[in-house]
Amino acid sequence: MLFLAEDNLPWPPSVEDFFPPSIADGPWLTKFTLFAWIATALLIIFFLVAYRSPKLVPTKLQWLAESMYGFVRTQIARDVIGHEGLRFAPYLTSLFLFILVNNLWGVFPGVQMSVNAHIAFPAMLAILTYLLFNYVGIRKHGVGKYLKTQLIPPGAPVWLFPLLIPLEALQVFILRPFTLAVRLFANMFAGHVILLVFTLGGFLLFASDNFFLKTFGVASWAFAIVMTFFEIIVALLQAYVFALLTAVYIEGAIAEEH
Amino acid sequence: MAWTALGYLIAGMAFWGFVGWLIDKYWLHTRGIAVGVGVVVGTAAGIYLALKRLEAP
Repeated sequence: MLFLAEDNLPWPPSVEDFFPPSIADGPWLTKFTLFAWIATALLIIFFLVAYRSPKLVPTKLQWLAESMYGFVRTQIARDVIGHEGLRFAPYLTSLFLFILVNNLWGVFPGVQMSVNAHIAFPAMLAILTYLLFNYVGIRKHGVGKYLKTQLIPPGAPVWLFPLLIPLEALQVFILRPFTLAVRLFANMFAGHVILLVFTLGGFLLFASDNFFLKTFGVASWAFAIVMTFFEIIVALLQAYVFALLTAVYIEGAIAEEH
Repeated sequence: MAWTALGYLIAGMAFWGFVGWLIDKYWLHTRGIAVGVGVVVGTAAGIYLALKRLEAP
């Protein structure tokens, strides 16, 4: 690299960029754990303050909290699961907002690293969803009937069962939690890499002696700003998709046979 | 839910293709016939399942 002005620029972006040095001694407090805790604290404090003294005519803060809860309650819990879904609305709202805040750390100035860019956090959330939908399904139907509704497609002839049941089992019990976790993780990971490429690449291009390349450096920064806004959309969308799929799985688990 | 349909197709091919591969390797020692049959059967099963699960109730 002839035009490399700063030799200490970490180029190209690599997986190492996702492992910032530990804050305290030892591996127990990193940027990721710290901001996961901050996100949790922010949400708890926000809802406590917003509902501290609820008014019939809501204040601005209360209105914001109510509209977020109302959105998940009607758009996800009621529309997907139906009337029975309302009791899952608090969990789905917590899930949605927790993922959203942790996703938004990825574009928050000064943080710029989504907690969900480490597979551990999406994996844990997917395990929770997995336990939840299996638990409510088994509690409602009992183990035998639950497995029957999940594994045997309605109206399929009996001689096809050996062919179909392994596929349904693979889909429901193995692929679901896996894809749920990987979808969120990969979106956040890739988003961070894209921002790194265009920001750091902009520095590299701008540091070159060639005027033509310098303009591309500026263009690269401009594109990094565009991608930052795009990342905000992705953060919203992925939080929504995670909560929505959780609701879809719950609905599948408690649905009556049709 | 287009993802579900895609998931069924891939799961069908992967699972029965893998079973076919095992049969090839450890049982019949046919070189590739069982994999081929497995993938085709798995695709058929995947299409069938996707249609069954996603048809209008």
